[in-house]
Amino acid sequence: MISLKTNKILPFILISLILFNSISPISGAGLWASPPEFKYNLSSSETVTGQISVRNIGNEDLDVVLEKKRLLKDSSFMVYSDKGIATWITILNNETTFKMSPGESKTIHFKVTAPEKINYLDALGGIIIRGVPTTPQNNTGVKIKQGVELVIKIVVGLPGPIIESLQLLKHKAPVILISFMPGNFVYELRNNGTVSANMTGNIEINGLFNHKIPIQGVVYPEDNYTLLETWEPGFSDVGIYSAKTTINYGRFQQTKTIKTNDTLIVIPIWLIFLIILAVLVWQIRKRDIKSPIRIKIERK
Amino acid sequence: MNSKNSKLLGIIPILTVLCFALFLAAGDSPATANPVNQVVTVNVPQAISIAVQTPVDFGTVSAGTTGTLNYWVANTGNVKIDLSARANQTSFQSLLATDVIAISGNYFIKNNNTGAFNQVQSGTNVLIYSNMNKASQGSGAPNNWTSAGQQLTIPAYTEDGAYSIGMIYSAVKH
Repeated sequence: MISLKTNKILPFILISLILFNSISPISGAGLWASPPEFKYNLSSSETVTGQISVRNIGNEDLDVVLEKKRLLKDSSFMVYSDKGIATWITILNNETTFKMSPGESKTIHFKVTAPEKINYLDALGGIIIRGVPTTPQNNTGVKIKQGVELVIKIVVGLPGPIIESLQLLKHKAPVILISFMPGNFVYELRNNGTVSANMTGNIEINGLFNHKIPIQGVVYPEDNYTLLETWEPGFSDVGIYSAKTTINYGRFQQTKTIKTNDTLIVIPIWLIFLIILAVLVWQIRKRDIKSPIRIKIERK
Repeated sequence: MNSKNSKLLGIIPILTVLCFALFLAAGDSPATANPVNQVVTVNVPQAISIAVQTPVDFGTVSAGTTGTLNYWVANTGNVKIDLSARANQTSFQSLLATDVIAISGNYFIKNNNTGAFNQVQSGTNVLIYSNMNKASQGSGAPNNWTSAGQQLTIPAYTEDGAYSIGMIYSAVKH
């Protein structure tokens, strides 16, 4: 009788748990938005409109703020600016601040108007949706209130001359590396062209063993971009290595190239241990230090 | 002869109509019909979404020592993202104490790609997870980075009290 009841109740409990899991909000602060990006090709003074669906998926009440920004992004940082494409975007209905309860949804409307006179072709901007929990500051411990931010990318292409120009301002490569010590290859680039520079390529590190580090990224017109790649020599890497960097770029086809050559020395960790050991042995012999432990083997 | 011809001429159109009707009927017959493919389409929209543990607490950290904390941050959408973080102020502040704890040189956040702790900044988003994957299809749980971490050094002789700051985690489609 009991087993019959259990057989009936168990599936019910399981289904209830699954349903509860799928309906209940995620613990913590969370936001959901769709779509994550818009791509427009605009002619001079042309206007387009769009809408974004937003939902509070966390279990915290959120203070939501909307901002329109130009995005400057590289492999280490993302910075917002109020210039350029940021001035072409308008958030409609003055819906720039509002509260959202867990599970609540909202639709954001915006428009993008291309300027009458334009001096470049590709631009990357976005609508920033920031949600910060409304809970007040607590009086105990060292607390951090953590909020979330979704960047809805708005990529605009405008008619104009296509000029592909990526300039390497400066670059830095490690000179000496020890096994398992990561070394940074830093390339500061600037897009002086009118179109986005999609980068591909690699750093070929050749020595006793050969390694290849892939390169990928996008630099928008008028942006500075810091490309950061890391290489960590392995246990068996030793000696002089050459690092040949090839950055291919272009809007669609990566037909233009930037090249650099560097030389670095890899000192293996085992060699350092051997040298320390050799120095120790040499010092012991030089000073004639006797071992405090004496082992005497006697014959019977 | 003429009457025969006129009878035949009368029958021909009837036969033609009958043949045509039979042809149509044969065309409709399931036995001889060509298979018809039904094309069913569905559009799955892209969505960007993250969730983060809040609030998080270093607990009690003595002046002159360093505290660490772990927290989780999840990609709850269906696209790969680049995740970055920034503080909303330049220092930890207290409601009662007069000292502040500057983030510069004291407050660091873990970078998933290098494993190192990077300086937290207030105006700049510092990339902490490049190309964070979405959850695997049908897994029932989002892609959760559970070993995310922060480090805070409390400068020596910092006045006792509760200090706090706000952190913002920013997601952009990779």
